[in-house]
Amino acid sequence: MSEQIETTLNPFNPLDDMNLDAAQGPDLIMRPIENCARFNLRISIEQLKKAAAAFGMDIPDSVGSMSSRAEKYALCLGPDEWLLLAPQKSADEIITRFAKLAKNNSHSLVDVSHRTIGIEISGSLAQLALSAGCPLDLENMQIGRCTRTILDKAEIILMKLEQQRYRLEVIRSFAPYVWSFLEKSGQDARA
Amino acid sequence: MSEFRTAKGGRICRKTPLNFSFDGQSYAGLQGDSLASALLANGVHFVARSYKYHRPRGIMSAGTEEASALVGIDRGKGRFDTSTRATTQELFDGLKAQSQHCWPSLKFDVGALTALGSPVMSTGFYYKTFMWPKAFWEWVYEPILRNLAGLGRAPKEMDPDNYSSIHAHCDVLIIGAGPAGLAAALAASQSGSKVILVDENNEIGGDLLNCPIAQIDGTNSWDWLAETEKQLASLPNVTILTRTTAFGYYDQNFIGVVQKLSDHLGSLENKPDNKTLRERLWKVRAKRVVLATGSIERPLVFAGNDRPGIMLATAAKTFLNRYGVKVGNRPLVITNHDSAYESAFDLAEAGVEVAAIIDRRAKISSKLVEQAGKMGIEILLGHTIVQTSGKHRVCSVRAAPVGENASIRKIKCDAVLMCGGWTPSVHLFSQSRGTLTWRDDIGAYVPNNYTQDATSVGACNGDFLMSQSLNKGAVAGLEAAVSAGAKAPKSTSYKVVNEALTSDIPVEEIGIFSTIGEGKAFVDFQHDVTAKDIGQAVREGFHSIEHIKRFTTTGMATDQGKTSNLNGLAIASAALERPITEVGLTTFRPPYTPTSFGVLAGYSRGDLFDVTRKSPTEKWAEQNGAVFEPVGLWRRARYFPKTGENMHEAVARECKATRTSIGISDASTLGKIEVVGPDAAEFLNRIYTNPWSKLGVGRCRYGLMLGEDGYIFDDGVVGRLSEDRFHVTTTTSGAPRVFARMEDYRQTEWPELKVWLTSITEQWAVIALNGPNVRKLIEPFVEGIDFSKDTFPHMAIREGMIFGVPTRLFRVSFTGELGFEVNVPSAYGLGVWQRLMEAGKKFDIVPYGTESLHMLRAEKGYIIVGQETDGTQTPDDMGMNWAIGKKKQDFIGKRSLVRSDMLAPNRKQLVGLMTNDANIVLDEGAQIMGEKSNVIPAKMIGHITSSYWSETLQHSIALAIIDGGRARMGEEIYISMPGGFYPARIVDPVFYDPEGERLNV
Repeated sequence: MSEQIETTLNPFNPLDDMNLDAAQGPDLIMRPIENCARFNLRISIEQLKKAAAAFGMDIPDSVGSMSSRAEKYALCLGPDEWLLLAPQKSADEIITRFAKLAKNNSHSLVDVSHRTIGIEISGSLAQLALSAGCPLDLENMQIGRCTRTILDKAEIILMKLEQQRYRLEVIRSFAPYVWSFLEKSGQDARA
Repeated sequence: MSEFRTAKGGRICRKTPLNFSFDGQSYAGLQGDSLASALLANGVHFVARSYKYHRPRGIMSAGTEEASALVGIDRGKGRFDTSTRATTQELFDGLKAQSQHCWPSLKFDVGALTALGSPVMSTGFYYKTFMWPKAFWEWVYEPILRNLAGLGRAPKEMDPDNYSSIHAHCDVLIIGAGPAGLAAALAASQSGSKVILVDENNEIGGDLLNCPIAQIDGTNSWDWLAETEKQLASLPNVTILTRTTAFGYYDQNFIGVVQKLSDHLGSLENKPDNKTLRERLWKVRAKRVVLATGSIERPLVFAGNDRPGIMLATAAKTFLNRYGVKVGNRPLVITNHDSAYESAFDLAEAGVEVAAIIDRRAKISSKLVEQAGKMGIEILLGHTIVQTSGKHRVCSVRAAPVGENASIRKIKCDAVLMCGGWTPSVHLFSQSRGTLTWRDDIGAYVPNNYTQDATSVGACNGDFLMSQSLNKGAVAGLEAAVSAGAKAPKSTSYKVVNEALTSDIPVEEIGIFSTIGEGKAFVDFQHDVTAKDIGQAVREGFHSIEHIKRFTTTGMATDQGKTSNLNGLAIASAALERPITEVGLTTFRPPYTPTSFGVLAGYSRGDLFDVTRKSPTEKWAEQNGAVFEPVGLWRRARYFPKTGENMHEAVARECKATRTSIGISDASTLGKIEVVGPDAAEFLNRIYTNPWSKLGVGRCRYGLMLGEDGYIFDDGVVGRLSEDRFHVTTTTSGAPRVFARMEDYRQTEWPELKVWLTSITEQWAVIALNGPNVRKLIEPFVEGIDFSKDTFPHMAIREGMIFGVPTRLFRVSFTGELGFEVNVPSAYGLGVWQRLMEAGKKFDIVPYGTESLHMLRAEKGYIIVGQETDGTQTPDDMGMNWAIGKKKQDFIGKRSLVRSDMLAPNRKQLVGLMTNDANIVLDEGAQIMGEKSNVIPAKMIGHITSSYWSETLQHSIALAIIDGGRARMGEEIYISMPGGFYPARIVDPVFYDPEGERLNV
């Protein structure tokens, strides 16, 4: 699927139908992240440099680390697994460059742009709201780290962008649940 | 001011009076009172009836160990709590409490009449009486007993309160904020370690709260406490949680902690925002745990030891010093331990006339004798109690020298304060799987071997002196800080003056205070277990405390035997004539104190009870009146009724439309996996029974997956997008387990294969279109795909665009009609669906749900894994040997398929059934018999797996598995159903279009 989408159809986000302002306040801001390109990359660590060249930026090689530049992110989620995030307009170029790479270097690049919904959560209560459902020690998670974890009953990928700013990627059909959960736990954090 | 409230002292706020009611009667209390202290200030001791014998009971403690004063607290509609300890319930204005286990009233209780029958209801009564006849249990005994039994009553309304939960991490978790815990917190926090300090009381201080006369390093204990609290509160790395109970100690220093946030605030009914939290569950992961959980005073066991007014000695001291309440005007102290003297002295100091101190010991320290003499308190050494009197409150006791039944002396009193030594609170330590060791000097078990990174300090470790608690607490705090990474913290030592008294206690003194005398001598006050019951259990042959406990139910009430366990052990040990250490020790289990269901459920209620996964097109289905059904976590449209239609009519219409023109349905929930890599085909060869190497690019194949046991595991269509890229589909419910199993084999069995898996279930929305007009509908909107019959045949996959959106277009069919499955990126699923519905109007397109989906495939004899199969069917059983790649060297399950049992001719095989009466729709799951026979047991030869009314065939159809079914074509068989036997004929499972011509239009 390498074609640029040029359609009159409106993309539908499951969060579109929710009241997104319910839990908002200066201490807790949540927002859906605009559509972007997402790829699941599987490749052996020896060939990572070539993949980095194709992606156009450094890709980290230790699990839990993350690199970013100009709206692009590379998250190392497993010993041979990465999640690549990029602006939608660069999707075609990335696919083309990896396709060229494939000729000699076997790997798997799969478009998963629509698989997850991105949510950014920030503010002084962000960590408390997340801690209601995430068992990790978020206070001591370093800025710029990422991990696959859970938020209550949903699996999420969590990125710590700043001390009080996180991004999470959640499987599309779990997104309304995760949003509602954070809304409730954020409200409780104020109590 | 009531005669029982002191003129000064205590930690109550005398300027803030509060009104409350107990059993409808109004009383006044003070801010800072517990319900128990407020009742006592009003002279009320008799507050409850006991559980089994309905005996009058009073307040026996001042804290969390309370076993008698259990009351119902009404905080408004749906906010009724049963069996709340009056000693831990903080008073608030307007509090409404009521007594339990009594009818019509506390003073006149019909249930107490059952006490007349108590000689019959001896221990083990239920076990012995209700065992026979067996059938009586379910229909007679249990319903009656259920009505009689129980502690309090369960609320009927929905709980309207809010509960929250949070994960927390810290370097040091300190449980208990008495002197040991506070000293530990001060030491641990000084170098920046993250400290959480929890205490179940409404304020920190623990034992300091009832020892105002003690001095720590020259400072009055309450001033020291205030200073310490201020200091800890100022540190950003210290979190102090009061009204907070650590109730469970789990693996790897994971501690369950409940914080009560609003039970002390009064009714929340008038708070419209409904945002106030009742409780918060803290799930704490601590690097190190300091247990400073204190100890619990032991009651004494003697005849009539349960009358209202009889309480623990330390409770009287607490009520006096902390709440400014005198528990009586003439209390009597009975003891075998020094600490009770302190209660006597404190009360005397407050101007209360102490009737006497009865001490079982023949000799005590001269200091105590001297002090008592100075205060004018008589001491009866070597004495015990043989009887108590007083119907609703103790009014006198009869004392006698130990071992004698002569020289009995009657002593008038209005309260009896008892002390049988102290038991360290090792509940949490024991939950952490630490092992205990017996200490003869204190007559109790203390922590010995730790299995987790924890330490016990103060009274819970058998160090009862305040100075020991402070100094050992400081050391533990220091160690905890260092082990958590702190550098060179300062050590501290404390000097205490006027600290509480303690003494050793001989083993033979534990438990029984008096063995003679009339009346019941209670061990477990909450479960009404007496010393006699334990003796009887031993006589009946129960020799382990684990068995004695279960037979007598001692220690099995909601207090888990906080005050009774050690006395019970001692009595059992005496009866068995074995040392106490050889009687065994029961296990402590969470929760430490009763914990609400609400807080354990936390967020799992209402909309957040579980995840509801909705497909990308669900919004349209919802707007168009679909009826939904849950499929795992997914919610799927079941059928789309038009006004007035029932399910049967809707399904008939949906099926007809699909067979004659176009049906449209959402198949997005199917599991999807993208398998990529040079070895992708080989990987699939090993996973599936089918061969994949020769599948052409752009073609699809139905794949069958077995377990290692050779039984069908899952199925689905697989399309080849390129030499090294496959688009695999699985069943909806099987998606997670198929993906997990593929990943498992890939990583552990065949790491040499260059292949990778990516779940793409939610990347793609899938719209299934079936019916003779489908090609005509979609062709105009698709770009980049040649639709002619020869270039895009059945079982093929193409990539192109539809409505300007990229698509993976499958030509497949699960209905037997010409079929296409349109895969588009999920966000466009709804838009594409809407466009197809619009464009499909001219073909009278009809949406259908899971019900029609099942119907349409059954007409074609297509199986559903999990419906036709139950985990014990081979491919051959399902008539699917065609799906096995005969030339393949191996695949998962291959070897199992040639086991002799798998080749038996009489295995259950898939067949179709046509009922003799076209209108009889058979019951799914109904058993099948070879002959019509009423002989029991009848021989069952199989069962119905799927059954429907076929609108297309105007005839009932069914799929079934029958012993050797394929060899029995045409035979008549009988289906047993509630209405009788229904005859049917065995037929081929493909009911409709057996040649498959409709696929190729």
